[in-house]
Amino acid sequence: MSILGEVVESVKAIVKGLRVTLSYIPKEKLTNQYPDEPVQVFSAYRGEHYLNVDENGKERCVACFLCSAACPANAIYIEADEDLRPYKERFTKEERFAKVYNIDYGKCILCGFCVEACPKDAIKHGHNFEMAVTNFADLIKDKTYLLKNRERESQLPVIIIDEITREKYAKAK
Amino acid sequence: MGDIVNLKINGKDYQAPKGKLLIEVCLENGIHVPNFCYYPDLTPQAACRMCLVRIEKMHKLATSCTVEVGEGMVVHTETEELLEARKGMLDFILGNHPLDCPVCDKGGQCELQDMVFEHGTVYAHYNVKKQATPEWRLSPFIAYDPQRCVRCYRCIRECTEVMDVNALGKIFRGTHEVIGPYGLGMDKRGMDKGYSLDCEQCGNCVEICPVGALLSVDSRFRSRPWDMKETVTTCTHCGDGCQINLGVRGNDYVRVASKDMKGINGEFLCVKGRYGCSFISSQERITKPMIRRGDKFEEVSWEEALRFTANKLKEISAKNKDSVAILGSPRLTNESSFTLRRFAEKGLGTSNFGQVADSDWDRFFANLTAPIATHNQVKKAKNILMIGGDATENHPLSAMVIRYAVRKHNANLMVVNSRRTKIARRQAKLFLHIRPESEAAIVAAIFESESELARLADLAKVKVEQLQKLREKVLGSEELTIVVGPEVQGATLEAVAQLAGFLNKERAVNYLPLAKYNNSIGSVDMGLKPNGHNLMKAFGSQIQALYLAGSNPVEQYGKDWENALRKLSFLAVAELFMTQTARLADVVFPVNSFAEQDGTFTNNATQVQRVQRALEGAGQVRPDWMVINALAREMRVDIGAKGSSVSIFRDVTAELASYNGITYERIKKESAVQTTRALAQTKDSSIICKDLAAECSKINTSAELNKTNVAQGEGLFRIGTMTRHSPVMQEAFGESKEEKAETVNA
Repeated sequence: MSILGEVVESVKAIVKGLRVTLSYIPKEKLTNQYPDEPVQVFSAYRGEHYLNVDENGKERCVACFLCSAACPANAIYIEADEDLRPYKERFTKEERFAKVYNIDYGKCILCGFCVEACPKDAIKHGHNFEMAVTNFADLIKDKTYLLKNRERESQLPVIIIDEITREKYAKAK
Repeated sequence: MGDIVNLKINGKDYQAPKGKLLIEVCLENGIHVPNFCYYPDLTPQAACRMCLVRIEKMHKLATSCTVEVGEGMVVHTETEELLEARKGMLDFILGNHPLDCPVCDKGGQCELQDMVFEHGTVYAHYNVKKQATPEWRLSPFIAYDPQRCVRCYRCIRECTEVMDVNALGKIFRGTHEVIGPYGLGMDKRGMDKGYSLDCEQCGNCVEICPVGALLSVDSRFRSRPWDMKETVTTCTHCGDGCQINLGVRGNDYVRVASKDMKGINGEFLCVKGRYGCSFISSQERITKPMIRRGDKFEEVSWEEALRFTANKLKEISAKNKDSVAILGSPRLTNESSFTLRRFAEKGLGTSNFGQVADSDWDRFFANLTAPIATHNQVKKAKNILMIGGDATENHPLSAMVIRYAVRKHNANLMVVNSRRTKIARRQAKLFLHIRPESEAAIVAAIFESESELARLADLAKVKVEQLQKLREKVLGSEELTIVVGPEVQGATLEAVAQLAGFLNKERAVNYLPLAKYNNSIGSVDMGLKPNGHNLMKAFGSQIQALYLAGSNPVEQYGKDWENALRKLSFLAVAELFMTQTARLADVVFPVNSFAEQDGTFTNNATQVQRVQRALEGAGQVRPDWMVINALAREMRVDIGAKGSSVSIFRDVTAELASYNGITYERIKKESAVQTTRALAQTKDSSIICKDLAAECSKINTSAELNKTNVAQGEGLFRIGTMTRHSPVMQEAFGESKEEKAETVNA
């Protein structure tokens, strides 16, 4: 075989070998430049939980213990208490409320059972995934933290993909 | 028991005694019939209409809780038609039932929840607005939510029939009907106006409520049925020894329940049993051993406290072995009492050991001539002679079984008492209201010849005819159950124990002693004689050192004991709390409460029952027997110490004939195992008469009759060493904060 023939053959082989790679060059990029760019997550993404409040800002949780019962990892610890003041004065929606509400993210597997079990829509998954801490004790998040998580949603380094973009995304793929 | 009838249920043949309720036959044979208002032993109500069945040849569906079985009955319990009917009834109930299961404490063990779950989709067809009513605190213990109520009237019937309290009733009519304090009238007087339920606060209405309408305030929102660890154990507030289900979450007391229990008490409990056990999680418990240094106590390690005590005891007993005394208590477990006695006998060689108590049960059992009745046997009793004792206030289970006997088959109850007790006023067929402390005269009247009656009647200040009637009934009855109270003591008690022998062995006579404390009888069996008061007189002279376990005589018996204890040169106390007695001690050992250890108690029907470890002891607490074992080891004496309560109990059964054959496994299986006691020889009646005459001569003939009624709660609501530390009891009946501080710091 001539030298020219060998060159042609090897170029062919390279192109063949890089075909998949090369085919992606003109396409839309999927890689996120995290942390320089925000990450795209679906709206149903199961990130760190937040505790919900009602339209007047009163805590929705009634400490019914169903989330902790549903939890397969036994990560939720609750202590209930009662507040007999009228609705306007108290900071909870109902008389019964959670005095202590801890989620241990060292145990939590983010399965979403607690959210499904909740009869009061009080616990929801947020979109935060930056949950790394430098010691075990910090993995346990208390009620005040979880309540604030809802406000933090808007500051998260994520773009939440809603249903329409989701369809587009599926098509582009 | 009457005739047997044949009937057919769901195509299968069954036999049942005639007159039995159909629902009972169904449930006994494992045929499930849903129900709300049916409850064993209560009068049928037929209010909920959930137990509907189709009986052939009857033109309508019948409520099985009111139909008695008859010959040739053909019953269907599971047809389409019935399912529809039951669904319809559930629909009615859910018409006004709020969907607040998440905040309802009953959620998880609610009969309505189960029923709806069982019947599948039940739609609330009624679009009318629900009547939202605020919750109502009926008492410091009981809360009532009218909206959740399904109007099954179980609570009212329980209160009226089983408890004989009549505190609950219906108020208003129709859709406005609520359960409330009986006799409240037709306006809303009393509602939302604080506490208004005037009753024994037993909480049995809460226990049998099928839904979350009646709830305990005590355990409100504390936990959920699936979230707590429940341990079956024995209540320690009186001698009856009810079985309780102790709910613990984490390491904290949550509640005491008795739902679906099969023990001697069934689902019955009293206010102390249900609400008085929270002292186990009190913050005031002693958690570390303490040694007195000057005026103050210093927390030390177990090693130091034991070494200090061992050295002191050795030092004092080196001169004279009898100068060291060991006193137990009728509250300790059998295992602890047994170890205490072993330590006294083998370890110290002292003859001064016993317990602090004011009863003579050792003398009673030494003279016993008939077997002891269990509570279930008392339920079936036909004739009951009750000498002394206020069962309603101090032994609620015994009172319940006596009431049961009277209510169910009109038992002939004869009461001899110096106080106008509730049982005497309401259940007794014959009540001899005697002079204080003159029981001996009445007992003598049975032994003595008829000619003496007038004199004895005069001695006890009762009418001769009444005494005559009692004597005739006792001598003439074929079956007799003798209930004897704690105030009957000494020779009188011996005579009562001999009564069965005197009456002739052919007859079925049995006894039920009303011992004051949870293990009064067990501790006597273990060899701790109730001689504390005699030993107390020698404190400071013959006796120089005392090891006192589980007693608080300073509070119970006052100044005499305090002065006596101060005379001792060394006092070691093993206690749960810093009691007035513990404050006088040189060393205080923290010990486990009943809920933190394994062991056995012997109740007043001489049944051995278990206590089980339900939670971890706080701090460094140890069981009493373990403290004694460690002390013996520190003193380098061999008392044959055993390392677990099981092996100690094995020693007990080996040593005591009456405990032979009882094992932990057997108690676990049977819940309560009665000890078999050797019966004493019947003494000659002339000897007994002589003893009784001596007792009779002690009667103060100038004493007047105590005509005041025993007030509700005289014994039940009395705050004691343990109940003081139960927050809800303290709030309801307790001393004010200053008073508490006074008793605790005195």
